[in-house]
Amino acid sequence: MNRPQSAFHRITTAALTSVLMLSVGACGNSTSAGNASSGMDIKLSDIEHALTSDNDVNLTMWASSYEYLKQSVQAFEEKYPHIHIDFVNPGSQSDMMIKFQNAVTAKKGIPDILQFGYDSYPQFAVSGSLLNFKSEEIEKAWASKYSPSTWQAVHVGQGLYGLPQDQAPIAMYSRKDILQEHGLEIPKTWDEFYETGKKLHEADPSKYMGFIDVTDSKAWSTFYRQASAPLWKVENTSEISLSTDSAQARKVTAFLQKCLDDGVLKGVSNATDEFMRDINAGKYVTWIDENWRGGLIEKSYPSLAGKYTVTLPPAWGDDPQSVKTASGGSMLALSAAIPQEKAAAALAFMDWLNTSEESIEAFQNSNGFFFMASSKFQQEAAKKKTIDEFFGQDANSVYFESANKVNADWSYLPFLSQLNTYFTDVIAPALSDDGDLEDAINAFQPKVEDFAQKQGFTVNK
Amino acid sequence: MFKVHSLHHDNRKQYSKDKKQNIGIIYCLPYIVVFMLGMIIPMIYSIYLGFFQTRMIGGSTFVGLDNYIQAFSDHQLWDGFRRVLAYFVIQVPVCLMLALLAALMLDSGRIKHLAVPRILLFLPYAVPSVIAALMWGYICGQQYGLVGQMLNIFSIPSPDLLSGQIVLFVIANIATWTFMGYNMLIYYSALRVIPIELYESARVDGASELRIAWSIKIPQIKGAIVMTVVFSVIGALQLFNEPNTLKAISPETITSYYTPNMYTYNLAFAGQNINYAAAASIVIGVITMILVAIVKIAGDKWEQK
Repeated sequence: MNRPQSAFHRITTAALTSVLMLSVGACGNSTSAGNASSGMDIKLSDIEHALTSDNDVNLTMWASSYEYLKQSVQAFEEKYPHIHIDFVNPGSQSDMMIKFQNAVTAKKGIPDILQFGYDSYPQFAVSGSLLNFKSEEIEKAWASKYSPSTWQAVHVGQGLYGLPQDQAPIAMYSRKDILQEHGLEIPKTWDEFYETGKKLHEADPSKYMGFIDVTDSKAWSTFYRQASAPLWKVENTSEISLSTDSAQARKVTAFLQKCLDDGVLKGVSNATDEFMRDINAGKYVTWIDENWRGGLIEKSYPSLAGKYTVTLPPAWGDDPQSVKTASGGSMLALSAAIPQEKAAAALAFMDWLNTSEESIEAFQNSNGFFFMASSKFQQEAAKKKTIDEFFGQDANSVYFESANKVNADWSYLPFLSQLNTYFTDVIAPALSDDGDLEDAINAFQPKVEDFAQKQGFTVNK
Repeated sequence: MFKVHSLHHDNRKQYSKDKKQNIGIIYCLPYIVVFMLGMIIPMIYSIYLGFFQTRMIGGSTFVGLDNYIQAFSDHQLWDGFRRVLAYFVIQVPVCLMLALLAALMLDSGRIKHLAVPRILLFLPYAVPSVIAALMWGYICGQQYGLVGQMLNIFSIPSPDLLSGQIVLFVIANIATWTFMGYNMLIYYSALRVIPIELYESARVDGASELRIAWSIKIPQIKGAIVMTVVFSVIGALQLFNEPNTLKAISPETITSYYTPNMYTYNLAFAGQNINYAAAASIVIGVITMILVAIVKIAGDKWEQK
């Protein structure tokens, strides 16, 4: 019985040794994660040349909107056959973020080009995984190709990390029929929204004027963005400021509390079967969300055709003209690991994909709700007044108006998923139950501060 | 190598002894390899990772035992432990008692077409727990769920089953529904090997069927009961799928640290804090091992009574 045992010991020892050696190897590799890359020098002439040269280039791209981008990518490859795009569908945005993080850590299988939401790329920008290709030349030549708010949204601090692809301005979808039933009008300011909602809830306690989605921090923080009451600011790639307790922010918090207390708004998850049925039944009379929601409402609730009206979201203050909106959308970024000789070709491809007429046309053919960030699209499409049958109005012109009124003075913290975790842990309960929102936000800020400091950020208050 | 043609008795004895030992190792090898790759190496790697801290800005640094010390004083981790222990106290007795009752009924010999109820009771175990949680999530919906609609018929206001403390009972209910059949099968197979002579002599002595169940059947399957309790301790401490699935429906109720495993998952994949998540996992593992040892020792004592 002794020999097998000692053999087992030998195997164990061998395995342990190899583990230790692996570990030492891992230790030696894991030191370069933190330095934010200070950009390659890519000249505009190189980028232009990349399209006309006959050097073969292979680029790998990961994009979650795979289906919608496919046609445009194909059109590019037909036009410029020497640039080959290995186009991969990485799954959902959060799946892609985990895969990308893993690839960066392993230093293996890193794609060249990635599609991110404007709110989800900053964490990779500050950790140095994305390329900052800012140069005066590029800023000068390309800034005007995109709407100002999206161009601002591809910057973190002083760095330029991508090219805007689409834009998703918010709009308010209101059940006009229910409001009319109660002799109420679609509100134009938040004060009117509150008054209308109060009357509605008193007349029919089962109905709410609107809801705040509690699955992540987006809907909640949009209130503050609209009110020009920033909750935080990214100063540069290693410094952030937190201001959830500023005088303006507290005003918004108090307003939300009043709305929650009086049955005007209700905190609820918009990702459940229950919620879908509630919308069908008209429990929540308004839905404020990014414009693609209009397409989803049309698809999911065909029986509600003609009952919804699309308007701008309400304005803070008394003047409806002063309304400020918010916008989401996505951009294309370059991995910091891309070799210098490929970077120019990659940028040329990204530029073509996001702004060329052929590409925009392919986008629109595959999904009419793709609201491009390119100023060319914005100007042309704005001229076309089309009546949307479901809404019985020109919904597009509302979206354009909203896009023009986006509050660009807003930045996304470079740790969105952790921020959302704190949101659902601390703030969501106060939104959906009878909690105190101000207390919750006071408990929320120190958590964010602590996390940011532990990640190496300088935090101002 | 073993010489097949050798007929010499002494030689043969010696060879076959050697062969036995070598073959044994080869038989074990697939298990050892998978166990090393799947358990031991990741565990050692986790322990190693726990000694470091990786920042978004500043990279990775060695921090010694900091992460482990932090984990021991992390109230969110202990909050998760308290919750799974409460869950254990609610769910395990109910689940195991129902399973035992079902096994005794199947074993009573009074059920016709035995295979039908047996497979029906076992069927929920074949449903993946994520699907089960989604399904029960629908059933428990306040307004349009099965529970809500049934209460609405009688004009009783339906409670929000996915809020506050009640959701823990919902999770316990899902787990009971899933695992009752599994535990029942273990009890049932243990009951099948009890010698029939024991029942016969009891009947001769005038014992009722209930008395036989209480005084012969249950004491005879004590070993199986201890085993299911040990499995249940591990299952409770590793609770993840059900609450994590229900979190999508009720994000405001189920926190990111609702159970210890959810906490480490969210630390690693939402907070990018792989190092601390690794340290916390090791702490959870050690505590689980201690609890399992306590249950096993207590169970063995009870078994030998």
